[in-house]
Amino acid sequence: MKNLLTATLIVGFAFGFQSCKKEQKPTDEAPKVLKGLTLNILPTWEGATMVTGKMQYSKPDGEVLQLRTWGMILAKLALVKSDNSLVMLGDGYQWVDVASGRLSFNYPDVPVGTYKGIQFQLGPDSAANHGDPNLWPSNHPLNANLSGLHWGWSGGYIFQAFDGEFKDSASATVTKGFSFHTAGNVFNQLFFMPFNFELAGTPKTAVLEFKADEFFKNPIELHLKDKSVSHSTGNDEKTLMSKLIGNASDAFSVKSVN
Amino acid sequence: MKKGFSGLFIIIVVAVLFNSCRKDPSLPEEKTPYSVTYINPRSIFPEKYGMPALPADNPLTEEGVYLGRMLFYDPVLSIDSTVSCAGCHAQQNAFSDPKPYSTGVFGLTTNRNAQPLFNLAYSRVFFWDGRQKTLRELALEPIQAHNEMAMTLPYLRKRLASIPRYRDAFNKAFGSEPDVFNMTLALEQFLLTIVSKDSRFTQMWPGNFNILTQEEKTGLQLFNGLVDEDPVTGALRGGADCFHCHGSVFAQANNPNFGGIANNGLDAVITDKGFGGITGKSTDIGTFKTPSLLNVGLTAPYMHDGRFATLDEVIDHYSDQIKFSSPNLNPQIKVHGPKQRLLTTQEKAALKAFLLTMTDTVFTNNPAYKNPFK
Repeated sequence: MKNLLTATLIVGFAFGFQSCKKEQKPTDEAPKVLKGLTLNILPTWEGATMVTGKMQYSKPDGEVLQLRTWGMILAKLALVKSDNSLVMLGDGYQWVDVASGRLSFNYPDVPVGTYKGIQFQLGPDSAANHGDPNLWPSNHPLNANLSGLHWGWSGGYIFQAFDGEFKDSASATVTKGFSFHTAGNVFNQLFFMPFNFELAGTPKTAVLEFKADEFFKNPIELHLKDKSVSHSTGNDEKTLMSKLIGNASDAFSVKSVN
Repeated sequence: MKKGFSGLFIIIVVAVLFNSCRKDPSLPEEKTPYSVTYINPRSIFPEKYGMPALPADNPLTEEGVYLGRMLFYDPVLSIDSTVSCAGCHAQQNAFSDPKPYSTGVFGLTTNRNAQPLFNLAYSRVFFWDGRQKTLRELALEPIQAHNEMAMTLPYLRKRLASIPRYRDAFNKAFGSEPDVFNMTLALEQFLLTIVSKDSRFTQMWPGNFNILTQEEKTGLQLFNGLVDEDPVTGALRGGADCFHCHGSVFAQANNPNFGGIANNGLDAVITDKGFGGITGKSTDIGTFKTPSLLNVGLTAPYMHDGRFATLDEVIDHYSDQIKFSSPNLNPQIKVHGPKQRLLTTQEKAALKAFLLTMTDTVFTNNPAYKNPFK
């Protein structure tokens, strides 16, 4: 009888503890995904952090400007592996909104490995650009009601919006408005930001620098007093937009991955 | 005795072991003490609007929505039981007030025009100055405002608890006695369900233009057209560029940072700081929430102070009277300054005709939104 009691106790203990144990994965298997990559966008003007609502950004021609809006719809946002294969971040879409500080994006699972840069396309491809923007989930970057970067049935998405005010010179008292809206698939452009980095171990943060000044002055300076509006329609506006987007070749870079 | 003790010991050990696997006893028990009927949001929100981001902690239920509707129409929410939410938000006016300033308890008046209430599930900020971000917070403000309903929340809870129909309705909706928090949830539910989706404008979306008359089509082209400059005369021509702030199927920009909160050039000198009064930022002074233009034919008077009695006056403002020196004027408007667009009489009439396609009488007669006490 005593033996029976002892056996019962042992079985009871074993069963009880076993039922409480968590499932454990084999320990000899190296993790293949990094638990968390954060992309932080750093908007700058000549290397300094840029903020909206400050009339303090000067151009070589003396014009001074402030931004009220700098919004962008990114597509094909991906890490580029050393063999040129892509690791799409989420579904590749993202909405960047400087005015509201929507500048940080977290991707929970990213494959570990060696990468040579990060890329994105400005604006979605034609099919998504002209699809129904209200069918996307309410929190999706392409949901038109979320970003407002959409022109309804008439023109698809605004890939990038710069809106603000400018003065002809620092001493001028009169301010004028400017509005540059990039749209239309002719302006879809892929930007590759080279940067060698390794993803392994602890969660990582990548900082991408978005240089607003590049759009306005390098290599072609945009004189706002000559033309301060473009919605990417008509020949004049498309010419202006080509200059703005053409200036963007050095506008984006990876600052760090740590 | 020894046998009995051993048996008891075994039972205790096994019980302790099994008990150690149970959930934390401090967590609430999962129970459903009352029964609600959940509403499928797809039955409320049309596909062409997309599914809004609804509050996860306040699912729509038939009981909750009905309680919210009762509260919305009941003057017992005001201190002297004379003013209800519906008193300033009339369904026939798309839940707006035909007076520039609404009248609250004791004949006191509000400081701004009462905004229409519909499609709020798609809005991210509320009130003209965008000071609230949820409908439950919105609901509490007029109830407590001294010049609207002037109620105190503890007294309101007591009053609701003393009324049998509310004891019954709160129990059905939330399984609780009347309380202020659940009251705000019920009002939130009702407000979320108020959807305007049956205007000719909405039927037209996203391109069924053949339902419009020729004049309305001209108005649509003006509404969606960009302003251009005549290279010879320098005069402005082309469209009226309404869509930058009133585009989308909602006829409204909902991103506060991209047309959703803006200064539309009403005044050279700002007397009402609007959003700037909330944020304290100089760059927000004189900016206000951009309203939807759906049902705009029913929501006169217009602007935050109800200064324009008619749609014609509104169109005249945007065509001829923009104050380009107004601080923080929206860049989309400012970019054309100091020239006025100067629409012709025919263009103004066409624009008005198009705006009137946004009237939704199915919505203004929808029995689901009517006074439940009648």
